[in-house]
Amino acid sequence: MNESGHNGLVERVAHELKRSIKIDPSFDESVMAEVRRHGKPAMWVRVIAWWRRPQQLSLSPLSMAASAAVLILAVAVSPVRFGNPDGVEPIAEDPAARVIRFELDAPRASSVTLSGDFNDWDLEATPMTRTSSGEWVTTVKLVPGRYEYTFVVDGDKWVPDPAAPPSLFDDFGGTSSTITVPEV
Amino acid sequence: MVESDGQLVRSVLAGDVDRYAILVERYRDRLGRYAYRMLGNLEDSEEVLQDTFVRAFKSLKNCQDPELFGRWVFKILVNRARTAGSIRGRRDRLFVTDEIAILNASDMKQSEYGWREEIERALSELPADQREAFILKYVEELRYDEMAEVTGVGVSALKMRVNRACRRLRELLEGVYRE
Repeated sequence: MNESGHNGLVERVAHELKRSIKIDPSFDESVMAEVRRHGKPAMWVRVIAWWRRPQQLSLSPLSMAASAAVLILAVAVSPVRFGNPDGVEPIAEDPAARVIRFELDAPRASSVTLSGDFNDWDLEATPMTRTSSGEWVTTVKLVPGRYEYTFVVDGDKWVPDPAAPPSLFDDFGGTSSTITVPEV
Repeated sequence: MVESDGQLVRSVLAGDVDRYAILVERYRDRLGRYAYRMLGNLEDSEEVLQDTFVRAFKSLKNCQDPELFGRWVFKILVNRARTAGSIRGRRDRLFVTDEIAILNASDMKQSEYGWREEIERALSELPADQREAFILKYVEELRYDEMAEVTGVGVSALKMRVNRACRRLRELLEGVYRE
C-alpha cells in the first residue's frame, strides 16, 4: 500500500470511529442521582465560589452613601491593616490529612514528578526535588484513603514505586503503584 | 443565553448542584464515544463515564480553570478508561463485537457492517497505549501538545505510538480495505 493509500486508510478508519454513540437515555439521571447522593460541596467551597461569582447588587444612592460611610468607618477603626498577613485567616485544612513522603532513587534522571489520583494525574502539579545522593523526594498531604500513583521520569517514563505494591488496576504494564493512607 | 462551562462550574460549587446536569449533557456524547472506542462495549463505557462525571463532581473545586471544564473532565476520563481497560483486559482480551453496529445492522449494507466490524477488531488488537494515542489524534483530533497534557506522556512518545498504531492498523486491515 502506498503513502496515499495509508493516509486514506487512516482517514477512513477515523471517519468510522467518529460515529456518535447512543448513551442510555437514563444515563444523565443516573449520574445526577449519584451526584446528589454526595450532596453539596463543603460550606467553605461554596463560600469561596459565591465570592468568585459575579453578583447583581441593587443600591439606591442613599444606601450607597451609607455603605461607603460604614466602610470608611470600619477601615478607620479596624486594627487590621491591608498588607498585614496577620490579618488574613488561612483556609482550614482537612484535619485528617497526613503528610506523606514519596521517594525515588533515580540518580540519572533530569526530572521526576509525582502523578496520581490525588492531583488528577497532573504531570506538573507535584515536581520532586533531587537530593545530593541522587534521590528524588516530595511530600504530599493526603486524607485517609487509597491512591494510585506513579513517578514520571524525564517527562515521559512512567516508573512504579519500587517500595510500594503495584496497582491492581494498572493500565500499561505495571507502571503504577498504590498507597493506602490509614485513619489516624 | 447559553451559560459557559465556567459559569456552570461556579454555580455548582456555590451549591446549585442540579446545574451539573447541564455539564453532563454537554459532554456526555463526546466523552461516551471516547470511552466506547477505548473499551469496546457500552456497558463498561457507561460505567466509566458515570464514574468520571461523579469523580469530577467530587473534585470540582480542584478544576483550576472552570472555563476549561471539558478538557479537565476529559483528562479524568482518559485515566479512568485506562484503569477500566486494564481490568477488562485481564478479564477478557477477546474481541468485543461492535454492539452498536449489531443494533443497526439491519439498516446497513452487509459490506459496510463488515468493514466496521473489521475496524473494531483491528482497534481492539492494538496495545492500549497505541489505541489511546490513535483515538486522541485521529478521532478526538487533539494536537500533540494537548494529547501530552491529557495523557501525561511526552510528545515524542505519543508520536511514536500514533505511528506504530497506524502501521499496525495498516497491517491488520490490509486486504480488507481497498481505495
